[in-house]
Amino acid sequence: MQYTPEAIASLVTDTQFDPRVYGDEELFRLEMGRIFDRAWLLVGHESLIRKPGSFIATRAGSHPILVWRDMQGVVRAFLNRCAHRGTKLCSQDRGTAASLVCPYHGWVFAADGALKSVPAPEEYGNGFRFDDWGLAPVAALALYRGFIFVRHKTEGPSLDSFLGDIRSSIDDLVDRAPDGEVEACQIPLRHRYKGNWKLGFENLNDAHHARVAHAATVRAATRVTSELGERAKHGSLGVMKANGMPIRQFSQLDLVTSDYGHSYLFGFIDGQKKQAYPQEYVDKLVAARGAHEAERVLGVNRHLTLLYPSATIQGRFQTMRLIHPIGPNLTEIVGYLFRLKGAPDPLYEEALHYFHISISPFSPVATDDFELYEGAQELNSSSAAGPIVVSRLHDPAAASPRGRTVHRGTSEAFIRNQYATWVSYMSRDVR
Amino acid sequence: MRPASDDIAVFLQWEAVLLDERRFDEWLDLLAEDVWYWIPLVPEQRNPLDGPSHVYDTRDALLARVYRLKDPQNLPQQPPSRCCRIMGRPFHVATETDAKHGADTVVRTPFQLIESLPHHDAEESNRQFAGTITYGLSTGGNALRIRWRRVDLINSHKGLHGVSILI
Repeated sequence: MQYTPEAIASLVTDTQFDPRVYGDEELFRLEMGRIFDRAWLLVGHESLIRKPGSFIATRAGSHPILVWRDMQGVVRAFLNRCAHRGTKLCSQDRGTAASLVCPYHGWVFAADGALKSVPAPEEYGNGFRFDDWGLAPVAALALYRGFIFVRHKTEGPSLDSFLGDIRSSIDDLVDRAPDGEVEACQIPLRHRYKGNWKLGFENLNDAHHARVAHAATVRAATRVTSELGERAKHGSLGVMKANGMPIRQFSQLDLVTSDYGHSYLFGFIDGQKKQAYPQEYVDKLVAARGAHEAERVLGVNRHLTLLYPSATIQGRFQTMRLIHPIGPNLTEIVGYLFRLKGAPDPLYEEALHYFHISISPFSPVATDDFELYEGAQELNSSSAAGPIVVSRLHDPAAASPRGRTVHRGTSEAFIRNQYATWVSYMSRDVR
Repeated sequence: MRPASDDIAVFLQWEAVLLDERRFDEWLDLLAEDVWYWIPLVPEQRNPLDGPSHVYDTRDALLARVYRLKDPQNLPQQPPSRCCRIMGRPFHVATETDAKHGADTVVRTPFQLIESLPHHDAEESNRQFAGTITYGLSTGGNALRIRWRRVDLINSHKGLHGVSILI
């Protein structure tokens, strides 16, 4: 089907959207070009490529890329593709190299992307100039406090205006480190689900589902704590139980939406704890930053921030998820856990437990969500499927939100905000 | 490579049967009170706090997994997966974790697990896991007990689809 701007706009209303957005091949193809090629995409963190020459191979939207620190220390990103016959340049997920050799005909590319040498260059003709055949860089690359963003189109908003107020969620993560620096785990924890990338984005800040979808997990953890009492102290139990909070309590949290489809939900996991942080950590932060600043930093209480369309950030739990849409029916999530430099081990241990229980494919919480995504993906591919309804806590009298807007925690406003953004990207042709 | 005793081999075989047959309470009886159940992300990990893992459960968290598996409303297990574990011959290994954590004997066995997933058609329903399980055992006293259990899957670093069974 041909999707004219009018046809795209007709897929979405204020409180509903067409179920084809999940499974339609053509819409997925358009999303890759019109959303993922235009938005700033989070692709990693500087700590993954600390040394000159170190690189990671990853994806940015539909494009396999190399993020490579050159020998002068500059962070660069290229299509992971030899400029000659288009083969994959690097098959390793990560490594360190001053240059990479294409496995096909031996073209050698330096970490700054320049073509350095070619076997028997005379065979490529007299006009062959190395300068013309470097690796293809991404159109734009920018860092915010160590977080690496790329964009595939030259034109568009600056990273600063793309992030807007939501950059404070990155601050929330980095500010928590007593030494002012965070370090990502070198090897990410991945999982996949057989569903569209948007299903995850529509779920992670949906506070209303937790109590229902994760009921068996809430029951299990509650039973363990009532049976074992003080001996039930594993970090995952509180996380599991927090999902069972009554809807009216979830609804009292703040949900914040902002431009470009971003949103964050206030924290709830610490709700039942006597003390949210190990004292040793609080002391270190106070020593490093002063009591006033430490209080401000630890007073920020955000559960999860969605950086539409590519990632999530959690300061409190020290995580970053990168969302890789593989196809309309398949999504990979690449999870990184951060160490807060200067923070004591118990804080890291707690973050590990949270990381396992939220991002591992073995998670007793996330496996419920995958089941829901996969069911939705299947049913919404049916031609008999009616619209998806996202009217929860919608006020028809209110103007559509602009900039930072606060909603009730159980509102579907963040999904409505994502689809308003979706239409805005999708109904404009790519220049 | 020194093979483990028949007692140990049969004990581990029995463990696999209990998990295949979803006899979770009997399975829990094989585990020491302070058991670890650990599925690291990569084989290089030396201990459960040495970077992210898939699972690092002490008994309390493991119990929550078991209660969830027994709950009829457990979303991804309606109906429960059917599983078939094929265990290799266990052999002794020097412990590679930093601490023996109370174990006097450490054995490892290659294994394969085939899971028939609910909600999937026949062609794609049989899913395979393979790797090794390393067991820290205490062999003194009246009965063998599992002090810790480490599962190294050959594809643990890849993007796996959700796993809601015990491996």
